[in-house]
Amino acid sequence: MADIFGVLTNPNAFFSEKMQESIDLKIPSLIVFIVALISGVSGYIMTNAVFINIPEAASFASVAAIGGAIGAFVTVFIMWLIYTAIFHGISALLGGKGSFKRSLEVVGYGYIPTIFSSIVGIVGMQSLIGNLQNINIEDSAAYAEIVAADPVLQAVSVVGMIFMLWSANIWIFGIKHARSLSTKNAVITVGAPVALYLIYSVLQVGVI
Amino acid sequence: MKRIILLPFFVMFCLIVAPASADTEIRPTVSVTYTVDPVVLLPGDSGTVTFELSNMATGEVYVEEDDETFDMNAYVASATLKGEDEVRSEGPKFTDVGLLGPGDSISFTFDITASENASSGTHYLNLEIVGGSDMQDLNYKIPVKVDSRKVNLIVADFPSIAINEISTVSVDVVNPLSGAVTGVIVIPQGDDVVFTPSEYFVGNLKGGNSSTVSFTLNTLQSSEGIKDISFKVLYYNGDNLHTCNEKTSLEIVERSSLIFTNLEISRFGNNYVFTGDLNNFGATSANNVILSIYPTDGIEPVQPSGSYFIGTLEADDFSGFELSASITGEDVTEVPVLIEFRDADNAYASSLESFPLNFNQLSSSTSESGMPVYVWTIILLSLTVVGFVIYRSWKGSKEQDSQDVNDEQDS
Repeated sequence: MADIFGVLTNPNAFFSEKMQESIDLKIPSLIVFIVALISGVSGYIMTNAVFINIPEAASFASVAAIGGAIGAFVTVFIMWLIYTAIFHGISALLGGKGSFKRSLEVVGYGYIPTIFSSIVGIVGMQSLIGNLQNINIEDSAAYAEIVAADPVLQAVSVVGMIFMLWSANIWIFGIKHARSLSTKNAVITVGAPVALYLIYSVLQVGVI
Repeated sequence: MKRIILLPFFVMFCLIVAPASADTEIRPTVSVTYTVDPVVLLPGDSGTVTFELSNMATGEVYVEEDDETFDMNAYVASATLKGEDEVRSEGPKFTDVGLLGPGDSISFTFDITASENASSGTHYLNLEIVGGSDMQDLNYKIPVKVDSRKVNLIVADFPSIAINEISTVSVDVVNPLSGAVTGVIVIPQGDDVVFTPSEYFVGNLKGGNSSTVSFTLNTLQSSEGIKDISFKVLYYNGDNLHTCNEKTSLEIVERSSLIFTNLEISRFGNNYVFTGDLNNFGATSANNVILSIYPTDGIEPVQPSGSYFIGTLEADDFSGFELSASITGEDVTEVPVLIEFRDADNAYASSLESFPLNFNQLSSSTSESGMPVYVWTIILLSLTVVGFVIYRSWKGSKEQDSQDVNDEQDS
């Protein structure tokens, strides 16, 4: 079994070795599950904090928070499938060969850096929630504007983008081996959608 | 004007027109009354003394008695008022006045002036009336009062120290004279302070009475230090204008009556939310209190709390508030806050306070985009670590690819 930490420092060697083994989704699923769990906790905390500070919505803040947690949890798994589908599709156009499950496996490994960024996100969110408790705002639009302008939240977003680059790096080598692509095509396969995502995120955060 | 009857209906002089007989004489009766205006003269005052001569006879001008005809006309040759050193008579002299028929009357008004050094007390002027024909000349002593006491002002309810506030002060205008003074006006004056109203019309003030006058004293914008305050009183004694000045001082301590406490500042990017309490430290209540972020360079009020309405804030009371502002300026050290309210007299008042913003600390930890430096540190650290890991992975990848090529060539 390939060294799990090798995927972070030398993904090329890791996936090269991994391709010699049969497809195993247990570890990738566990990685994505951890990310989903952290996202669920973040979703709960954030939704609860926001709804409590909106007077007309405070009464159902708990319900909304549970909804937010479930939504965040499920979204991570859905995004795993979407990323895999996009990479698999683009790589197919570039002559890639290999099963979808193999693609799913390598993309799952690429979620390891997301664990770190999600933890950073939770820490930052605690700081933001501390600030939100000092204001009582009835205008939800103004509230959202203030939350979006919070530097901690912006920092969390930027850190998330940086760790996304790390994930993309892992995906490049993963897709390269899983879909038998050249390095160049693997970069195109992963780089194009990730670049679009990052550009979108930068425009959303608007800090750079 | 007080009317004084010298000798009601009886002090008189007789004009003998024609004696009826050796035993009986019928003559007209003349009464004299006078008034002094003003009742009491102050040293230097001018006034008037008015005499009224009335022929008290009734009926016909000529009266038949015992086959005699008597003329009931009174003939006045002249009327003169003679003064003294301290109260002078300024004339005029009435001469060749003529006949005063039965039931008729005539007035003589003389100007009088009290000298500047006239002593207090009663001064007697001499009225001389000269009758015509064989009329008897008459002299009367007319008493005129002079009082050197003046209307004065007692600053009874006036603080010696005031903060930047709106307070109510009052003074008493006292008339120690026996006569009334008219047209009394009190004008407060002070450096760097504002009195409302700027002058107060008291009107007439009877002798021996006083009147209390209240002013609103506004020291909201006053600077620290001792201020000279004076109250000027204008009044008329008769037609004579007099003034009285009462001076005092007021020490201003630069401290607002409406002060902020428990101030908490929360920051969201360039947006700041200020929460805390506004306390009324003053002696009077403030009505319709509203707080607003005062727009200046780099500071703009933003919703939802660009302004905050508190309402009435009684003395010794407080109320919470919340204000929000967007601060884009780099050199901002304080955020101006406009406090608007209405004072106890419902007059608009305002003061400009500020929230301290330790921007030296903020600016040293804040980037141009408003993101703290520690956040940038985390970002740069993450970028460095991730960059290094990616670099290492690509370097390792090339080495492995080279090794794979060599292995293939060897095999």
